[in-house]
Amino acid sequence: MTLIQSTNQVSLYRQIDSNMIEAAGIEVSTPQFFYNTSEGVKEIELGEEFDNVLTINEFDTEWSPKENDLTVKQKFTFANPSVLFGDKGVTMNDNKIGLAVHIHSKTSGNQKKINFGSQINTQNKMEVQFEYNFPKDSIRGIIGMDFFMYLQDIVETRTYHANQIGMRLSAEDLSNLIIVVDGEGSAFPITEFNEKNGPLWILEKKWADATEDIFDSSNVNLSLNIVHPLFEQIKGGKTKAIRALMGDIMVQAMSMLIQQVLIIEENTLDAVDESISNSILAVVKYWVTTFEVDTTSLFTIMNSLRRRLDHEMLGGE
Amino acid sequence: MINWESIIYEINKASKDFEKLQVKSTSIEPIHPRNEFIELRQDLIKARDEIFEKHNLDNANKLDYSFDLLFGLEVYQIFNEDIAFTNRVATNDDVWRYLSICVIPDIVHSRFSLNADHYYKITKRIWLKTIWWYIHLSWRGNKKDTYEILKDNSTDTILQLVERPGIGYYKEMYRELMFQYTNYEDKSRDLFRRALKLNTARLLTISPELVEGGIQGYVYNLFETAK
Repeated sequence: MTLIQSTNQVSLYRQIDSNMIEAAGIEVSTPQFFYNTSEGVKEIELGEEFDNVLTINEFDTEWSPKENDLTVKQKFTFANPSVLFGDKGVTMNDNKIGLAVHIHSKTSGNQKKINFGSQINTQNKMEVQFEYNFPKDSIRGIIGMDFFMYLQDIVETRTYHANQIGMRLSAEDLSNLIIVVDGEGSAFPITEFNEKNGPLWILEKKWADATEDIFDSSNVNLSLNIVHPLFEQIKGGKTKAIRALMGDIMVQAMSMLIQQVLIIEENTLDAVDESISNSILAVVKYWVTTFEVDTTSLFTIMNSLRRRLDHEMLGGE
Repeated sequence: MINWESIIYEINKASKDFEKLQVKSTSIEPIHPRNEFIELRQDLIKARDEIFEKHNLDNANKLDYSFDLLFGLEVYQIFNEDIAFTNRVATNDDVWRYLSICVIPDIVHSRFSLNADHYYKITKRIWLKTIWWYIHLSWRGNKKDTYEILKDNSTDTILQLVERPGIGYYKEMYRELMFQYTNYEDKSRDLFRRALKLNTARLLTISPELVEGGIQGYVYNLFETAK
């Protein structure tokens, strides 16, 4: 039996972990992205090492959230689905495992969960195709899509199995996609200062209470030195190297803030007061949730953020 | 045709224009929106005038929830696909600031005098934005049915519902929530607050669409547990 601890809950039933995923031969294809144009359906060409963060305009400068829709497709294959069922699986033989996606976007003001397929106990290889369309002129900012499995139908159960329809069965998400539609995420306030021979950038913490103070430049000051030799280049953002540098500054700044708020000041993410949507803690929570940051230590924070954002930061030529 | 995408109106600009607003005896000045907004302004003023006349609000000391609801319903109908007002536009705070300060500051003033928070300063408190989203998250498909389920609520209801954007509003679930809420007596508004707090906690692990009974069952359970 696996004891799984996440956020503030402990689930006392067996879930699909990485071993079971391997045994069941569950594979997720590289996603595909399409949109409609007057000349028909166009596919957005992805790079060879697509890392599940799609900053659309980086790949296709003609796509615009206002003028174009966006279709997302992804294929889920189960080579040995029967591994998931029975006494040694996560649910009994005649039950049904559902495939669902959690689509969420604070910037688009919407979230929902959709079932897009089922998995039953069978010796055959199974394939489920996911497809979803975002209408044109509907989305803004950043959209997250998290794919998972859940208990869809129960006929028989065991004490160590999930016993209610809707209970999550995959310990980790099967796949996560981040789609950046407007090219910039949660706006990070950046100011400028003037210090001859000074550093390119500094980050200042000025807040008293992360749960109440607003995420703006009076409380969080990321500041660029206008007389630093690299300042003009950073502002221009013309080369991959410069964009990577700016991106890394953002990763370092976000990491320091997350570390300060969660590890040093020991705030917890569920202490977010939902009525203050742009408090420092609320913004940290948004980053941690959207970019799936591992908040164990400063090192894991930085590494998990870099994994998520590094490719996006390079930008397109 | 209004080009919503071209509106750039961040907080600093909003603040400067807000400072210039002056209250005269029968008007607010200056009101000089871009040409394409003049017709919209006229429609909104007309809607406001009709509400004032029908409900005798000229003599009211202070406008309150009933104006939020009535005007909100009109705003929701006016801001629709006909003028290309889409979800993408509704999630743009620049647009709400621009509308509040440059297009109908007089209407906002009648509700909140010159309280900057409700024009631009606190984005989740921009009055026009909050009433649009309140109606959007409660919409029953038409004005009349929506009015019926919302008429007994209060400004606290709007606050509780709209000021919890989290990682995105759960639109379908909220619409069901506002519908089922009418089945309960809740003068103190405590039940509503409790239900929403419970919802925030439950959403961490439960999917309203996927449980037995779906969204309907989920919401029913929420109220029954919270009451």
